[in-house]
Amino acid sequence: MANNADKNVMDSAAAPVIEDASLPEMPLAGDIAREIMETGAGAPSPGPRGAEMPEPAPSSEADEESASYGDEEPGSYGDMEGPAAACAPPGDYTEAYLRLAIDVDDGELTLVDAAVIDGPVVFSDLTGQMAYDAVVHGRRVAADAFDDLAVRHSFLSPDSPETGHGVGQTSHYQFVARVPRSEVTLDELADLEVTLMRPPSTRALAENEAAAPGLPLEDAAAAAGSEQPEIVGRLHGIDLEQLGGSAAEAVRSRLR
Amino acid sequence: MPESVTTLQPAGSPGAKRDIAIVGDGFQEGEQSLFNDYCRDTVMEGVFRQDFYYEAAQAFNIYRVNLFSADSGVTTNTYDADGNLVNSVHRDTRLDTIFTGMWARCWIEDGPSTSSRLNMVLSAFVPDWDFVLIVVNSTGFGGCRRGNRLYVTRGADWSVVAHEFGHGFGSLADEYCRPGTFSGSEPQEVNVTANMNRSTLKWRQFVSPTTPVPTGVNPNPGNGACTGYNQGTRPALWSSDLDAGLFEGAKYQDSGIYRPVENCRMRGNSPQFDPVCYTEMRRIQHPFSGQTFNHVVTGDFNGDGRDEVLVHNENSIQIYQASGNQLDFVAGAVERVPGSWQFASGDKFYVGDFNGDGKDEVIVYNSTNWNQEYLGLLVDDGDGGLRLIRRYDDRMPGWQFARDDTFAVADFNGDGTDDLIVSNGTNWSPAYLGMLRSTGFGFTVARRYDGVLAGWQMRKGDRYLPGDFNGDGRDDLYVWNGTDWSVRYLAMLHSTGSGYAMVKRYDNTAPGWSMAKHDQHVVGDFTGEGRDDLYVFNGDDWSKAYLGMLSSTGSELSMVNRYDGNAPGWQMRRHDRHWAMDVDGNGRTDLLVYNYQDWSTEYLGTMVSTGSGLTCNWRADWLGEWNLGSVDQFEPCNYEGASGRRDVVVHNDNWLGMIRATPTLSLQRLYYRWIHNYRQGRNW
Repeated sequence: MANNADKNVMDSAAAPVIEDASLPEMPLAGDIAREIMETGAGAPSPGPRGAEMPEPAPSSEADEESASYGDEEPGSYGDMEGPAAACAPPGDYTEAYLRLAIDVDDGELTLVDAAVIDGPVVFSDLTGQMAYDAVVHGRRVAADAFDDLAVRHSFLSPDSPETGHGVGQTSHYQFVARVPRSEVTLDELADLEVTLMRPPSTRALAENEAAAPGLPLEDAAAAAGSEQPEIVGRLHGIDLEQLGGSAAEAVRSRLR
Repeated sequence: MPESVTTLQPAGSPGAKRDIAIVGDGFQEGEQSLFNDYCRDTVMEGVFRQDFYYEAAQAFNIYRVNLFSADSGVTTNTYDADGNLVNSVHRDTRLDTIFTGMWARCWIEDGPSTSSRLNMVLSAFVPDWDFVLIVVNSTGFGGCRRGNRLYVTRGADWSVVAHEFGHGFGSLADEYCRPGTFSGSEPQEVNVTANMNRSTLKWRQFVSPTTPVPTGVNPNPGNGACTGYNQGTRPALWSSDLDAGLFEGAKYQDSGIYRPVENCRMRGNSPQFDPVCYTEMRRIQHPFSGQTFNHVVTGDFNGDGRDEVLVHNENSIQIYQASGNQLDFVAGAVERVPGSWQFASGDKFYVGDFNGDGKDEVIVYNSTNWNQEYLGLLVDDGDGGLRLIRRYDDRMPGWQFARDDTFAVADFNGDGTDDLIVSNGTNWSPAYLGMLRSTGFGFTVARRYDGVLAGWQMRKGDRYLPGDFNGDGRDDLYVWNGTDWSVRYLAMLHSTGSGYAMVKRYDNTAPGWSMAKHDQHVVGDFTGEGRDDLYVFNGDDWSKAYLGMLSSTGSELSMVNRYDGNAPGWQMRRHDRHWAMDVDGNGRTDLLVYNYQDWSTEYLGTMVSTGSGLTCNWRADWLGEWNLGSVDQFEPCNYEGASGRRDVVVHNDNWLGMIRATPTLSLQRLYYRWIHNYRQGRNW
């Protein structure tokens, strides 16, 4: 049969496409088969599933008129119950991330807090005035970007608006680094290197990432032939002992 | 009452969102309402009801931390002109902040223990915070941002907070001006530049070709002023915050550096973000918003005669109003709407006018995300959004909800308000069907059928298709089962208003049509006679595809036309999919047809009913700038407010398009990742 299926573009003037020549054309009347519905059936067909619906219900017009199936009055509603989320058993390494709070003082980075937090972690596309990457044995395990945290910014004075913002720098601030738990083990913490940097432009790291995805950010800049970010400081290794007993133990117990 | 944290906006898992903590200092236990009011009025009803922040609210978790200070107010230090402390009024406060009232000292300073105390508080209450807003109990003016901390007094209004968040969440530069000439290299922020070359300008895509570049040039450098439009005549409809050009003065200089618009939020605080800043904020926060266009429903929620578009993602919704051929954001909700419907990923939406007010309401059903099933009735809140007026938890009188309940909208009693049909053949034995009559503010089970429906033995594979096949104003029911019996059955059940009566049953054969397992049906009045007819398509069970037009006489069906393999202007194939439309507004139901699987490219077409046949036209591969694909979903609707139902919203993960189907299929508007109408250019 001449149809245009072989050239595979629609031609509404062509003959119908035969999808499957082994199938018949539609007859004018169908077969009569064996298991058939009983006309006027009075009983429901038995089924293997579930149980009967426990709610009583109107089953006739008379029922409906006399039954108390009316709507309840609208009211105020509380929280919806649940969700019935399954709790991860101890030692279960489902989605979670390591959160590191890092103090910056004149370019010196110090770990001030750490915790493992349940749930997914999402990173920006590396647009920002500052950024960090976290690297283990040359492998980038996390990177994110944000506003310049070293900026101090006073509101405009209503008495002398011409002076604008008071803008200054501060040498002491904190930032947060997040590392997916799946990307780092407890043993690797000692080798985890967190680098805080300022890119040459807010979009520079994102552009480098597009050109050389997944590399440590300095390597990505080199691979992309871009200007290197200015390094603010580095934290060489995560020493949980700095945190004190309970916080350190909490992290240890939740990393592989 | 102990110190506590309250989640004001629970958008999602902390690591997947931006987490803002609002912490008070200098508020005694009995003064918490002052702090709470500030959080509500300034942050929630102020900042997060403004343009970008409202539209992208689901990117942000917002936490309020109530701390109790021993004293009311905070320590106030006074300095002389040389910066010497001349007076200090000490207050014992939870965070030890100090109000100075001096611009040069950033208005508010940390006390010796502020950082350590703040870290302890946040660690306890908001362990994964990104940004903290510290509200000090002072009515004096002032505010200071230090990195990811923003300090404000109670005198700071929403606009300054919105401005500062522009720095904190968008890395945006200030667009203020002061005397001075910029002489450095190109600034790193996206919204300021030293580059005057139109072809390489950072924001060139937002500048109209007719706009002069530069657009504003400072005639007196050193005057400290930000220059407005002065290169030619400022167009009458020029917007000072939305029309982009190149205006001299930005980032604390009045010359040698330029900003995109005359006055945006990064200069004047209260104006909205200009297209450059808006796009940057959206782009950076997009991964945290989690927004896609995968789940879209349409309906005329505000009763203006045009369908709005409701976008649902996880625990949020956004509603966009149609205006001409574009959509404008009107309202959104994160986590819940007033009345307490909490949105979740498994929500299913059904749209109809359930109270007869001429506006569409929304039924939401969720049987997967909670410990029990929920059904909610959401109505227009009068401000473009929705509010819940009725919720059924787990059951309603006469019906026990179950996981696989399936709903259909139908006015089965002909009172002019839509009702619901609910069926479940999966979770119970026997199968059930309920007729839920709308009371305008809820539903009542008018009738329930347990296993047998007016002579029809109900089975798991039953498909219920409401339609007024006898033209009496009540929606009747076509019932189809092609899987559970060795005979294929199609029934016409007439609605009495409170029940159904069997009118006709077809066993294996309808007039001119041999029924087969994979028959697909679309209900609609294709003859224009006031009765709902039946399109039936089968592309699987025969050697070629068939499309039948079965017209209802009110008591039976008759074959008006059957297309074997080809319809006029459309070659039918196995995976054709159909939706009901009224392309030409003549009251006859037409079809939208799509096939992305059977040809070397995708085809989208219309099949317009003449009453006794079809005329088709189609577009292949591209529809304007829309590249048709396998992931595309289609929502026939009426966003134009014209007669009929001639519009289609097409959507997938990242893209949403507005299609008009007459005179031929044409794309009217295209959005990428978010819905925003730029006056010039776009975000891709």
